[in-house]
Amino acid sequence: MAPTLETLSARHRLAVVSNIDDDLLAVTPLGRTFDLVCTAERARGYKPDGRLFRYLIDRAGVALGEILHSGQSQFTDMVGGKPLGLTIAWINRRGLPLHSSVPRPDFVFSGLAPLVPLLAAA
Amino acid sequence: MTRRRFLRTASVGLGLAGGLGACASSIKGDIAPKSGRRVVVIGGGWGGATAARYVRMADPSIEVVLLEPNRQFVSCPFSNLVLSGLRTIDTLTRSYDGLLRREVRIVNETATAIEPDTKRVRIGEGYLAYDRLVVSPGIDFLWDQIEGLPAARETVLHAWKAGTQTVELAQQIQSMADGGVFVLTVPPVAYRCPPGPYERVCQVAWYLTKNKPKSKLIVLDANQNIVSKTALFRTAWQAYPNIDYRASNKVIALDTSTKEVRTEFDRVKYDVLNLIPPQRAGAIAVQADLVGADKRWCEVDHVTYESVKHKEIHVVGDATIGLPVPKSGNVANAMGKAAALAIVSLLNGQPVPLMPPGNTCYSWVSDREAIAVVNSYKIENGKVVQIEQKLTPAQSVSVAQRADSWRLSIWSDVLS
Repeated sequence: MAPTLETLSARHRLAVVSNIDDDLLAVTPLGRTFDLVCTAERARGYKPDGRLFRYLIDRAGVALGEILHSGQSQFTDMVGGKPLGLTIAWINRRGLPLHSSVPRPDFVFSGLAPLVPLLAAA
Repeated sequence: MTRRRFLRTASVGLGLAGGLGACASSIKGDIAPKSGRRVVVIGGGWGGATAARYVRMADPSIEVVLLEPNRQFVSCPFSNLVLSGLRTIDTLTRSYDGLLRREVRIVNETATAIEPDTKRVRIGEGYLAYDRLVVSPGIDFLWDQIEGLPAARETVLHAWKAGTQTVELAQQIQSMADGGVFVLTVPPVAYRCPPGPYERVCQVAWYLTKNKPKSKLIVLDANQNIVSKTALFRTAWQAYPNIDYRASNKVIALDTSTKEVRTEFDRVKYDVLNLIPPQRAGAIAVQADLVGADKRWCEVDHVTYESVKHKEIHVVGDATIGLPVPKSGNVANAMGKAAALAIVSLLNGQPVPLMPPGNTCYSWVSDREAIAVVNSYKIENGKVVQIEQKLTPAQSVSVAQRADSWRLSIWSDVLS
């Protein structure tokens, strides 16, 4: 994951969007810095509640269509993000089926590596 | 994470799909002159449709032309449920509208030749130029390996490409008298969908148990044992005493006048026959010399899916060989994505990402229960290797529910 994020950071801004409080994030070893940090505490809402994603959208500094959100959880990432119009790459490492109630992601990958050519061409 | 112009505006017309598609085969010369970078995809099944979609989504500046003679996508996975009457073929049929919305240009024609030197795909007397070509032709049948089959190929059903034959076979089963004998023949590996014949056995056996209790089902398997999910199928079959399974019984001849198939050891009478012939890569792969020394399957690079025989031609799906993966829809979908991202990377001068395939395969063993196998892989020294294989511990309703969710989610990933 780390090399992929490093490559992406050369041309793109990186944001972390997490159902976490600030103090817990502070002691979580992420191994790198992010351009934007969106925590549930700051947004006052946990995914799939839309407030955390609205926090991201409001502060990303780019248009909605220029944001790519990638996440592992169909029930938080897609349920929360797709209704707001986010483009989402679902990182489905374990080959899980999507629940029928979950909005479809735009991409499905088993890891982060494909995000590099995906974003390089964008 | 941000990117520029990720979602492009839908401003380019769909002229090829709406206009040229109907008459491309009658055009001589360049069917659609290439103005920028172009990927042509042969075959709109699981691998080809996925590749077309992901190239367009990864880099909208690359034009994608999909050659697919059928106007609709019909899912092979779940088609055995048509034979038991649990599903209709309509519920497994999807349009290509999602790809059209991605501005994939669809030509409803069959590719007749590939010219690697000039980077052209022939369609009759016309051609399409490409920068990179994806060949996803699925499988074709080796009719002449069974005596009597070439002459009977229009009437003896395989139903191994979901569609008209699936419906016809379901009708034959329904019309069979109670007490009739249904014979299913399983080809030697490698063939499309290893557990497919055994799921079909379950579905037909379930139907006969419910509707024609005096009938029986004879399975003539060219292989030494059930090829996939062996113990789970054996357990499931305990509920169906109407199954007569005969391993190592390779069919070598067919006589439709006496309604009889011949194995190396025996003659077997049938009332309804479902003969699944031995298989090879789709015809265009053979014609274009993409197959290996076995003249059946295409060897590819495990990272880019580029043919080892012809540069700038990528082969995905059931037509490939050499990877430790089954010929499944899930794998074809994974290959289509990996090939698409490899092509986008190569055309943009970027490193190719490592995208190992994954496989989840469900099999319905009754009207409400299913089993599954999950294979995970990694890429090691440029080769795909299996990490592990997990089987569901037993057949269950919950696995069947997951199968239904899988169906909807992967169709979306292939076609939306």
